[in-house]
Amino acid sequence: MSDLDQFINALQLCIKSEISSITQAGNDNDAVITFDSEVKDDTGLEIFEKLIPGHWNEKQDAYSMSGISINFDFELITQFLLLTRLKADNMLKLAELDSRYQPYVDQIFGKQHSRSSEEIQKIDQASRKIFEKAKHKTLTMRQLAELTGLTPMTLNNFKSGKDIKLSNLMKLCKAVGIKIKMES
Amino acid sequence: MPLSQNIPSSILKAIQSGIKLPLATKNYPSRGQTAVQELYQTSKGKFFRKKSSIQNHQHCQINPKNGTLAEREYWAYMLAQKIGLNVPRLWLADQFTTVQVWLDYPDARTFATSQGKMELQADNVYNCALFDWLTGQIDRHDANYLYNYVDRKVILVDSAHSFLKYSGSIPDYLKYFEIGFSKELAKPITTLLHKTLKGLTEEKLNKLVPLKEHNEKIALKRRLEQTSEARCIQDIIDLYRG
Repeated sequence: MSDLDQFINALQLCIKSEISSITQAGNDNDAVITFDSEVKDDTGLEIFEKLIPGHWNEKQDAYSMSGISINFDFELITQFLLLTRLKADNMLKLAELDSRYQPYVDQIFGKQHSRSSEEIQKIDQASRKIFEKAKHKTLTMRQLAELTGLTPMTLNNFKSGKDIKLSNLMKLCKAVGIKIKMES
Repeated sequence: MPLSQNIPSSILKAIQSGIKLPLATKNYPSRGQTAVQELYQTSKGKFFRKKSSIQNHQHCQINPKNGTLAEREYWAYMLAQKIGLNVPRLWLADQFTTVQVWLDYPDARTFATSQGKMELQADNVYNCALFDWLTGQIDRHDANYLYNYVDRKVILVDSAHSFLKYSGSIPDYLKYFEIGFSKELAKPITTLLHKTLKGLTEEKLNKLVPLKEHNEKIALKRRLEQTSEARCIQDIIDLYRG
């Protein structure tokens, strides 16, 4: 299977519209992805357009991309598609884990939104952030207590904005998937 | 494409009007073995249909009369639901066919090949290992579990090779954890799943997993007792190592 075929297969996993073919032109430097029918309401494709800018034909069933062999690393983009399926959480996390993907995330979300870091200065801010994340992950207080080994009282105190030991804060962050970063 | 009435009609309709997606087979030689494997993109998300043949059962030395691969996968799913293990929704379409929700996470092989180390969480690995030991899973290689790298969790998929009378080799993620997270192996872990398992009676278990073969029933009962006693990940590794 060629790199381009693998790329198309990976792309198809990320979008709703059915790809019928991909053709290359201009010394393999340009490519056109053709779809089975007019493309509409496809969030995956909207994200893809930001990743690889191109233009649609009038019928909205063919997407042309120029300068692909010069401007794009297809192997890396294919990996990006396979690993993230163009899901927002996946993309942001992957860029955090592997900086090679950061330019793609910057391109899709814009530089100002691409990193989800937040400066926490007060206890109640930290508390709010952690319990919001726990809620998002549908973790109950009981489950949070079991995951961290902290008592319900410690959790409730922290939830109401009272101080917490750093080691306990680290346990909580780990349980809900928040990374603490110190900068000097 | 015959599909059973066991599947909700809305899902069935979505699949029938969905599009078939390419399924990666490069580096997945075992994917060619199952008779039918189809991935559908639908208005209700992605669904994976898998049908095994009599030859598949012969290859795995499983007598379909004692429970087909599809039935075993369905029983494993029902058990996972009961004990609170997060696995993709699965329906038994007919005796040889399952349909399941396809999650948009890479399998461990894809992730590890591309990115190297997987960050794992002890409680999640412990829960998965308890489940795999209990179900006597013999086929937990690196393409049979997904890696949710956002939440750093293993998600078990393709649990068809289960409830046999003999035990399998150590699941891939457990070997990985043993090497990469050795300090956490002996740490006692308490999870809701383990508590639920301890409260599971033989009668309830037999309802969820209606095995027909006597030796398979005995093996399942023994494994339930063993999982109840496991206190840490090392305990489960020791079970595998006999």
